[in-house]
Amino acid sequence: MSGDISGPVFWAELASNVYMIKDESTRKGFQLKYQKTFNMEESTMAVGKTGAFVIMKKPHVMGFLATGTGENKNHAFVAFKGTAGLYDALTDLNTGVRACHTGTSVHQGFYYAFESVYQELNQFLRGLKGVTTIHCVGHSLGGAIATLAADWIKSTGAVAQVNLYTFGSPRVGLEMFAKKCTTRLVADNIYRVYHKTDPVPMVPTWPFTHVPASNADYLLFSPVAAIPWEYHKMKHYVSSVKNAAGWNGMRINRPKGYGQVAVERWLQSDGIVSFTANTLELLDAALLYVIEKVINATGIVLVTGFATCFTLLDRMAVFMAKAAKATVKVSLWVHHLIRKMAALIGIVVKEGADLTVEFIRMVFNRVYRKIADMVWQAGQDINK
Amino acid sequence: MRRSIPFVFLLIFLEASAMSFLNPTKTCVFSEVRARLVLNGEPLKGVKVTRQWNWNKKKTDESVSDEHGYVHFPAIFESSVARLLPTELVIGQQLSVEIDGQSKVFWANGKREPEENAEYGGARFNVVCELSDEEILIEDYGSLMVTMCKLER
Repeated sequence: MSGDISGPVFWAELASNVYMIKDESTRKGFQLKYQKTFNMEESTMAVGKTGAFVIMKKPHVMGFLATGTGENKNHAFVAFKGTAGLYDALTDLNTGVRACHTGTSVHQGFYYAFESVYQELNQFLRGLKGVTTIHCVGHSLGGAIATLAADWIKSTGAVAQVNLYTFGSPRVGLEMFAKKCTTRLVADNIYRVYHKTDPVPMVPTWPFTHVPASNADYLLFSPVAAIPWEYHKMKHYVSSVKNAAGWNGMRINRPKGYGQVAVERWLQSDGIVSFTANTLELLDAALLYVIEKVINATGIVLVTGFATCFTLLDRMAVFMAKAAKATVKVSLWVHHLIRKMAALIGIVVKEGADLTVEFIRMVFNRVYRKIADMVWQAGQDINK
Repeated sequence: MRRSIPFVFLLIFLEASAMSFLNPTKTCVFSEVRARLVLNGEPLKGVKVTRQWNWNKKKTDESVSDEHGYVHFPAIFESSVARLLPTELVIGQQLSVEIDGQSKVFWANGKREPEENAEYGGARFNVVCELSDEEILIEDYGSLMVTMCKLER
């Protein structure tokens, strides 16, 4: 019953079964299933005591924390379920980003969800004895919270190793978060599993980036389904993982993406710009390319130093407007980028036009709305 | 242009009909139950059986077993807009019987699919439950079911 924690099936089943801690009737099966794997007693589960087993009931998050038994006694487990409350935030880039508990920028909605369990997690961590590895797991938005939990736990130095397993997780933070988190956890300890036709890992779109920031992902091939979210469901993840040949059978090298030459050529081109998946990837790459170029050349910092009422789009607009007035070498690429983005929404930017914060914000807003529509439309198309 | 107007109305009508017929938010929270209750091989006559389900709110109904120990519950359906979101469906389900003033749970499950009869993977919920048996974990139907009942085919 306990399962082999080194294989993917255990983690897919746990990400699915964590939904079963909902009430006493569903929790009964969870207890029987994992009684030889985790330390858990009905009394501690019901009242939510800290110690061997904790259930957290918050408006948006519910998960459990447990230490292992038997051959897993040196392991601890942190699992989160997805919640409905944050789905709106996924397609709303006009939300804020916030510095997470380890200092880099993440989606504000995910930050607050993690914040709501932070105290319990901290208490659990302090009570651990003899634990060398902590495993964080979650599906969907639970995967986003598990990512923040893993990143923070590792930063405390409480244990030598933290492993992260996510299934159909959205993108949690900006590139710097993804990079730092990947370095902190070490890429080989991160298992990001996703179905090819699951739309949730596609959002939020740029400039949010998946963890790990490099190395490999674990891809499960899935068909186009009659229901848009069909392959986001845990039952398909469990089934696909069972049919895969272990971690190695799912492991793929992430496509290298567009190189510097391709991005520069695209930015400088005058061709017709249409909205396709390829355009999205190019835009993603181009945006990061220009941001990096601006930061390296001018030291203008994105995101930090603003009041919390500023959204990510506001910050990016201010950043780009400043950069547009910087050295010619840098402003040239900012102009190319804004011109290209404006073209996507049918606006022609003339040579030498003044790129104000308001104009850039409007362009970002409308482009992003169009991307969000496209992502949701993809789901609608699948539904037909 | 005039010709297209009735056609548009027809489309709207057809779409509305299909929507109400299919009702994407309609969910079977507990399928029709037919259970035969037995204790040490003898039918449990005239005992109160409570059915409980919990999707967005915990609810119960009751029935009494007949002279052969049979108890019956109709299927229950509920609707929620939560079904329109890409969230995992988990409906807490439980059947308990009152024996000598004590409540005993003999079937517990988390329903993960909206369809009727999903509890047993599409088979009708016809079970025989020997209440002196030990409860076991059943994972055959995409959920974690704990029960002392056996499916009657």
